[in-house]
Amino acid sequence: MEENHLDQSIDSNEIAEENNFLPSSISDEEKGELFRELTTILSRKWIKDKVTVFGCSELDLLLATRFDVQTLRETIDEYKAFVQILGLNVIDYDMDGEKWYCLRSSHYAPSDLQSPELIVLGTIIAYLESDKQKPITTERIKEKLVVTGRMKEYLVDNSLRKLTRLGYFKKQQNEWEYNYRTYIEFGDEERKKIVEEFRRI
Amino acid sequence: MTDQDILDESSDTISVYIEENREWVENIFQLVFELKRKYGRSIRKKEIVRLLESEEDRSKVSDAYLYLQNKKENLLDSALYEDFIKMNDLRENDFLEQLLYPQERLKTFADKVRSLCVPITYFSGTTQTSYEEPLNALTEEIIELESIENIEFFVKKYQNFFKKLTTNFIDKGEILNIENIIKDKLIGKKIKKVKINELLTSLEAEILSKMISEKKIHVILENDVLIFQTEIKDEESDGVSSSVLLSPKNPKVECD
Repeated sequence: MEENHLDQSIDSNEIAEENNFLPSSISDEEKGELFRELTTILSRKWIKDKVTVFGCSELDLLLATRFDVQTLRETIDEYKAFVQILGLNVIDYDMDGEKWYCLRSSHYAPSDLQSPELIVLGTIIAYLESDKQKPITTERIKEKLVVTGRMKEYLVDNSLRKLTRLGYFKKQQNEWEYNYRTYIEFGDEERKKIVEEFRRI
Repeated sequence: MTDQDILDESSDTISVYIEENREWVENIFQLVFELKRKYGRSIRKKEIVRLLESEEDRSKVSDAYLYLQNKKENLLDSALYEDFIKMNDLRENDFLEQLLYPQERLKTFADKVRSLCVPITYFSGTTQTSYEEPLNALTEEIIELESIENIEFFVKKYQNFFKKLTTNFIDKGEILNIENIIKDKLIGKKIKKVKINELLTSLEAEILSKMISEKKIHVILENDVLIFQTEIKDEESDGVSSSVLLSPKNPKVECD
């Protein structure tokens, strides 16, 4: 028991020493290495619970760097200024109550969605923005796009599946809701503009 | 008729004129107000007012600016004119859109959504590197196969050689770990060329080669002895560069 206790105290001492590792005490070379690693981590795309996610959660970054929250946020602020020169922004987003970081282009960049997916995406955004009271079901989307003969049913189904997988929407009890990615890629004004454009079809 | 009478009469006509005029101004203002409400609502709901009706409304209030006096009334008048312009735009757009097929309208919508999107940046690519673990000791043996038992014994004995070369994957973290292991093993030491083969696994030898090319480790060859350093002095760097072929024999694989 005593030995265990001793081990624990040594561990906590070590952690305390590492926590003193403030950004001001990091040399330029180490900072360069850290920023390079951050670029790799924040620009990665991977799959978590069948949904595509980007970047890294704050908790994972804390575990990897062993910084305290304040130090990590200061480091990320410095990193933000560093990548801004490259035309990139560090964006934080909320996923299941956890804070995540990823990179976003500050200018126009090509989207990886095809036209049918963009149409379905725009339709759901327009519905969700214009009347929040009425539930957005798959039938309602198909009523607008398929019944009027504009799109084929399988195309709408495919697009919905892909949009769910890519993290744009999620289905809660047969109703469509925003997922994290729509908020990142479309701001409030952009969503309003989509509603206006949607009226024309 | 005295002068006083003339004065009284003229003051009466002026006051009547003012009274009438005030009524007229109020009517005009009321009309402007009603039309502003009508067009504001129509624009909000994207309902189109027909061209003839819109022209009639415009001609009704075309002289209104002559009667409106204060700033508030003038502002309302100009807002109404702005709404006339917006309604005209709306009408023209609607007319032009009717010329498009539904599919084309959808395509335009998709393009608009695409242009409003600022996507997340990611770099696709694998973070893992593949490598194959080669067989370490290849020996040659001639055997005479006399019976099935002999064949079975032979197969059992050399089972390892019948396996295919397995492809393993290693990520950057593991490479960094191995780099540290190599540094611990070699830095500041003088090791004979023959002995180094026993120290390293094939994967470590690969990574050592990578580290030397990245100048993380400097190696000096002195009469069959390799000297490993992290830094190198200027005078020592003047020399002929040569390659050393490694054939690692340590079978232990340092992977967690």
